[in-house]
Amino acid sequence: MKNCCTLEHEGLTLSKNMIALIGNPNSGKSLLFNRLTGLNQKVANFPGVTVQAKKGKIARLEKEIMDLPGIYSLFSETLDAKVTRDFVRENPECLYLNVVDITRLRRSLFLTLQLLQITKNIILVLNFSDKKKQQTNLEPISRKLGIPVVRISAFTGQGIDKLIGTIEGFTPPSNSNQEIPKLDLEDISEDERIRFIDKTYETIESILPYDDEKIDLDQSKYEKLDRFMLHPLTGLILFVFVMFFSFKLTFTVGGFVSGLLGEGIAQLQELVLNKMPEGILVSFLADGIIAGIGFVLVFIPQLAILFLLIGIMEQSGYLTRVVFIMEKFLAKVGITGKSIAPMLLGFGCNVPAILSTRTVDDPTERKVVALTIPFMSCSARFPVLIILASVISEKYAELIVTMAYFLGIIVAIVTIWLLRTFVYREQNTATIMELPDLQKPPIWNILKTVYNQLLDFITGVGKGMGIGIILVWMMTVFGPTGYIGRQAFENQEYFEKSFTFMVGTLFEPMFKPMGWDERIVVALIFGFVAKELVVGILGMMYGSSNLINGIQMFYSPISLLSLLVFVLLYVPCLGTVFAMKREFGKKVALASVLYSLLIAYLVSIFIFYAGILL
Amino acid sequence: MQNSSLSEAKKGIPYIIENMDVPLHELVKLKEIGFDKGRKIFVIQAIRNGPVCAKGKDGSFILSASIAKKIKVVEATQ
Repeated sequence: MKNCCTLEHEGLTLSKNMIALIGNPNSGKSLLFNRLTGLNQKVANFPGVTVQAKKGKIARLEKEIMDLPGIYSLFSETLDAKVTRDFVRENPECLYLNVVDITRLRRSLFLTLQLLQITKNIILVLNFSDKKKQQTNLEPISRKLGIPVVRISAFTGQGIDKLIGTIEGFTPPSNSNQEIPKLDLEDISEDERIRFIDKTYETIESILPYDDEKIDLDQSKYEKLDRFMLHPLTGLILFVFVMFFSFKLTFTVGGFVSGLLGEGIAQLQELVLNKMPEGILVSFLADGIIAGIGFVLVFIPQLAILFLLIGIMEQSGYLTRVVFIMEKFLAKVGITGKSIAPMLLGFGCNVPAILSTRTVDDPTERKVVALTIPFMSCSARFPVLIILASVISEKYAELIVTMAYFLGIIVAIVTIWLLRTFVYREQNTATIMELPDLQKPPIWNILKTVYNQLLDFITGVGKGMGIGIILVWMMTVFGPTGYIGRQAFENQEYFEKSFTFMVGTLFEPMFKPMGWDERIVVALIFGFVAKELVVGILGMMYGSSNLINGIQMFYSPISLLSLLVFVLLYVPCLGTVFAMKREFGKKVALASVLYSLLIAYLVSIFIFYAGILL
Repeated sequence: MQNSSLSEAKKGIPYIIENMDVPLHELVKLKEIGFDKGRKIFVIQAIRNGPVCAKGKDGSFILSASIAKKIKVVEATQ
């Protein structure tokens, strides 16, 4: 027997007293979810942020709440829409908060009427009421639909108490006064769907008469700014400027604080080395924990600024403008505008970006996009890029990092072209994508998201990365002859007795053309688990107190530039590979690993030899 | 009154959708989001041979060139 409220395919089991949020993309469901639960569900002002159902608890009501992926229609065929559709059909007993953008009310009722076919347990929640100048009379809508209607603003918190009261007092409603068009949701032809859509919109007309006089171009107070962002020339210039400015700010402000933290870490290491008696414990603390893990944590201020800027771009609606600017070009290489959003999300973390490809209509295009996401440089790679760029040239470090990001984008585009030309040739979709209004980003929500992302980073460092760092430390201070001591980090003769050297020697011939030694080879191997490990291991191997000078002593700038490119492009981290396997199967995951390894190798070797010749 | 495709429509002038000669699965998507014959529409921005950003009663949408070219519009009488 099936449970009352289940979402088996997402691995979530829900209690009977469940509430679910449902609505169009950009209707503010995730924002409301965060308001009601106090959790930090990621929010963005572009479609496709919630691609998996998320669960939380409304403390005031002692009820669980589910945030379902946004859809325009229960007929939609994307995977994220399927999650929502299956949930609604399997759980008609749940209470649905149908969240609609009050400025898009007519269109949003299309989904409401479909929902009413399945369940009457609905509260219509009109969100963003702070944006609507004229007040809509809710009583006739509520009466005609036969469900309660509440006006709120998840952005300002207005109306939330009333919504809570309505949930508490909710009783299954009487029949609506409206005849709801009915249609079997399975196995219908597109002609039938069109007839159904026409009929549904006729019903909507009777609830909310169409009045085109009310459409004007001055609804948004950011209209001029919007035109500037959407202009093909100024929009492109602005995008390049925004990217560069983001890195500049991250380097200058974040770099300053990181520098202070770095000095603190180095002093702590010195203190441990000076005050504690020499031995295995002091090496573990000074070389493993402080130099390895501590050195990665130094980058938290820079990551905080990067996450903050990405949050502002996402939640203001700017990233959707970038989609518009880039659509023409990407359409030429073979993907639609909907695929750009997952790619841009990849700059934060590749794993949710892979999941967000579920919003892409065409399954073939989904695979193409997923295979390119690992080339979008995620935040875990950021510390590695900063360190290597600073060693290559302190003066031009931010420019080098910006160029690295653009190189990742170029490789992604070339990959799309190659896949569309030789592997996945069929294309059958075009872009139809909502452009949400520009808005002032909700700072409370962005700060919560940044805090959450940093917490993820720190716990990630503490868990998986901690194990990796300790393993490499053990491999370095121990060798086939037993304990070598911390001299292995400082003296080549001792280092050559270590397991790290042995492992590095196995793969070192592959990287000899670029001039990288066993230490870097081991850092790259462990970087497959998590990219942050590369920096941690470099800090451990070359000394966190003076890493830049330490690396400079061993490698030429061109050798380091080729290393930077390799780190940027080589195999996605283990988390991304697992996400890829889960979404597309083993073959695609393996293809991604092998392809990115090959590309990274070829591009970095090209850069190395081109640099030498020049 | 001039009849043209949405790709050729001028920015900021109201148009009425006259016909949408697009493949059925795309017609379904357009109608679901409220784009239909007889509806008023504005072009906010268009890129030559590229996407069009069009605003209707039910919000703004990015439409790729392949779709925008097939949507026939006529200038609305104000």
